[in-house]
Amino acid sequence: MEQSSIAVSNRSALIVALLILVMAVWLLIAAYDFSGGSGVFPRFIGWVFVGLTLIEVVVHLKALVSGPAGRAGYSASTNEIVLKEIKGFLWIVFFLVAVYLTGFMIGIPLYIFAFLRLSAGRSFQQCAIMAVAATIFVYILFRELLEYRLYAGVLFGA
Amino acid sequence: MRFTTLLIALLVLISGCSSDTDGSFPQNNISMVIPYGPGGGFDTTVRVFAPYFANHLGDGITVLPENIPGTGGRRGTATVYRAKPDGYTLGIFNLPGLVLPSVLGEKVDYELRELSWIGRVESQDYVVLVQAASNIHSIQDLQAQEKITFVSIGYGTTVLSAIQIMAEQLGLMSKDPIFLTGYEGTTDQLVALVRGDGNVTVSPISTAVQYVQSGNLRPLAVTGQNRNRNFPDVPTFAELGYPGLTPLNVQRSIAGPPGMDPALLTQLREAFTRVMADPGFLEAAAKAQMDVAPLDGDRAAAEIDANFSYYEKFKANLSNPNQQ
Amino acid sequence: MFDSLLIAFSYLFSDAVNLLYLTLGVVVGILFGIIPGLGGATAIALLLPLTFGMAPEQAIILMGGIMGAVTAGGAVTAILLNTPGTAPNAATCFDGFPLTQQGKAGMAIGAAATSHVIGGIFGLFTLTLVLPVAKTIVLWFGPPAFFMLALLGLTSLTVSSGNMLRGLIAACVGLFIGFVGYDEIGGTERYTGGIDYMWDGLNIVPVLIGLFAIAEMMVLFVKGGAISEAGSQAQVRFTDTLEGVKAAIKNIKTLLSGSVIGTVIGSIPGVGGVVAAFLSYSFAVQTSKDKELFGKGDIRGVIAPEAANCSKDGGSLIPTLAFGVPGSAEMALFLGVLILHGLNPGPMLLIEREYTIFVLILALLAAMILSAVFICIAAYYLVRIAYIDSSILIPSVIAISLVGAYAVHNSIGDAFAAAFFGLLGYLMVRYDYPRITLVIALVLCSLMEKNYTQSMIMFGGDWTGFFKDNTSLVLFSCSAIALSIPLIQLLYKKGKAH
Repeated sequence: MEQSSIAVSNRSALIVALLILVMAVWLLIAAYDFSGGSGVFPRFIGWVFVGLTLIEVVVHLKALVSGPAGRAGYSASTNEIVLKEIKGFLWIVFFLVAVYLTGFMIGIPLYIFAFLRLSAGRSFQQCAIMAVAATIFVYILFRELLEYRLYAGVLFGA
Repeated sequence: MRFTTLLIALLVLISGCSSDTDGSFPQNNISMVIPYGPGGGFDTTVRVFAPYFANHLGDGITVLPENIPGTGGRRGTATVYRAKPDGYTLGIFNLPGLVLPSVLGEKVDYELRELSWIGRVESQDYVVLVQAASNIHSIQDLQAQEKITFVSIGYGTTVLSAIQIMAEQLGLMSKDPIFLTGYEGTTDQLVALVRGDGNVTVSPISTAVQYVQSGNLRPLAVTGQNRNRNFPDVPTFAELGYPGLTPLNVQRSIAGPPGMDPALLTQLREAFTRVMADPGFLEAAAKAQMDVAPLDGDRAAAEIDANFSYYEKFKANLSNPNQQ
Repeated sequence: MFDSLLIAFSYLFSDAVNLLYLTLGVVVGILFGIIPGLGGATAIALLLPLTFGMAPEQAIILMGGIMGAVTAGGAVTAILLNTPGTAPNAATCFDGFPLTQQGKAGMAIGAAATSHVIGGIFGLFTLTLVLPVAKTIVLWFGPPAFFMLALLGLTSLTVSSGNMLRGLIAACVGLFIGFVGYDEIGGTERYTGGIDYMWDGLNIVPVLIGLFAIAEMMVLFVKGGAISEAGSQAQVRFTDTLEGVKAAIKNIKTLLSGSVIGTVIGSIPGVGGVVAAFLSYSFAVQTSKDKELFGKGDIRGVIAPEAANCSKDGGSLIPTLAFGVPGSAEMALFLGVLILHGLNPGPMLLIEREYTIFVLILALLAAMILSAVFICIAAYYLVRIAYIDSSILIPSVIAISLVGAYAVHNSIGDAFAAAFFGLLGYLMVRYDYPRITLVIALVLCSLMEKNYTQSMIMFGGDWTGFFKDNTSLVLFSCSAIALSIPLIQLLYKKGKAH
């Protein structure tokens, strides 16, 4: 139902499957520590999980061994894509750190300003306008209307 | 030029978000923490209580209910425990709900006795219920049953503890009863009893009233000193010869963080007393089926010790019945 | 009963103030539906203090306005941004978003609005018919039946997802996410790592915001550009929306099946709209002869889940009104509103307050119709969102979504969780693991485990008890049939090939 439009090589699919297998095994082992009835379901599903992931690993191994190094559509710009992915992920981390330290009211304009300036390369004016607009929106919605106390960040309070 | 104006506007906005605390109390809105999700009993109590409390504290300020659910009530409690004792963060607390974790040996991030207690709003007694269709008409009939299955909410809750203590005191443990726990809330528990998943349960009275009125369930006995106005024909445990069960109840009390200025605490306590006598509040409370049973701050705090000693006595009976 | 209905009708429409409350509720509902993370529950909590001076019926009209409108708002975000505005709208993304990418957003919104109305009417109609026997129906479903229901849900999942192996793996991940937290019955903490935040388990809302809203923004970031590139047509003509309405009516079978599924699943407490929407979508895919277009912009992929989303409102009122057992978080809050106004939910509510209940039903009906009309009108303006440059859209959606995630329980942990699931969701899209199956498995996990454990306690360890409970037996047969249909289809095809 959901198709990724980015090509995935057989090798990376195999690596992902292996990682999932490792996690499944870890979860299963942890399930044996649960006392009483708490462990029944996790153990059962754990075995199913490990079994299914093993099959997936085998499927990808076969594809890797028998077929070409990549799927149809594998393109040389994959590195470019991975770089963008890391950048995207880092931006989210940046936002979280900003909010954790300074709270939403400062974190939001900071993030939006920085993103628009550094990632999208827009002019100072445009960045400032967007940052202020977003902050005003959040302020009105959450502080005024909902009267929520928004997280104030480690530096300033909570 | 426009840019600078915008920057200034932004700075003004941010500074407007901090609260100002010079001058007499209260200057700003007060936050009343509810350690449970919205829609439940504690939530309702605070929402009825808050506007009247605000009125009696001063003009133009609001008391805002703030839901901080999690960890069975401990997260919200810990939040209030750690807050600044400036009077702007208060909370509503469940006794013995917050006493139980300590009795059951779990670590908690608060010390109930250190909170600045303002007063108790409600106290609810428990009632023992069976299906109306069953042939159990009294506690004695219950004791004569071969197979007993209690339905209850989860382990660590006040209801299950009440059930376990009752089972022990009424001599039901010898029948090796089944404790069917895990229901989401007292309503689910009562529906389960109506359905017949089990044959007996214990519930706070206010939740159970409708089920008795509709003819689905039958009350056998109540805790507390006096008979309950909703079930005038139902005896108390004391009358039946089990005075050890009388103290079982659920209390809702208000407190602030530890270390509050005594003058501030007195101001809050006086406002509290005025609310408890306010006919408007009492009417709204009655409409919301609240069991108003006020106690002043010191006596509300004394209940903590009473709870601890009571539940410590029964500690051996309070282990998880479904943990193999 | 009929005269209560008439009185309720005249009450609603006689006083302009009541209509004002209705409209206010609808507008707030749509707004909260549109913003990911804020939903009906938050909207009800927000407007609750406003209701203090009102008559109980007026408070109900306001709340009914909200409840009837929320998923309509959520559908808009799902269609335009591939981000569900509320949890149940997640299934609408699958075909709604591709339609936007093809420049057909107006049609999708028109179809969603129509399904909304018709599904809603179906749900409320069923509710009204069932009310006299509501209590009996609720009593049929005990722990054994609920377990079988969860099993049925998971079965339909495995049978309908595209790549079955990956779907099952995603389902396992979903189940394990569901295991996280304190197990009430066994009394053990599972997979919490001692962190307080994990004690209550992972809340579905931040998970959904992460998996869909944040992940989608990551996808957009990597892709660049705007969401919709189809032509430079930033306009929605009225005829587009009308086309959507016609398409919905043409596919009446999908519409009705979606409504039935929504009503039935909605009436199961604790399962909620997410499962109803996804099951409705899966069912539509399963039972259609030409499945190729699903996931690429098949209008039926919008009709089915949206019909379920609205019909579930009627369904979830069945246990709520019969016994005061809330079918969802929204319902729990709604019950709180009732209590505050002196209407006490429980078995006496239906008996004592028939008139009030009809006011609620009519308010919901009016809200559903009103909200459908509103989003069709608003579609004209809202569609432009799809053409906004991603560099503006991305940080805005991420910021608002994370605030929304925080706002659910006033917990910064939820915002972090949402971000984590955002990354996970992106990886799932990248490596082709279906997110739906993870979500459904997560939602069904506690239903399945808790009811299994309770049933075993009830039976004293004897599992044949599952087949002695009537409802449970019926549901088990349904699961067996659901599992065997594709098998039979396969055999039939093979047989024909010979």
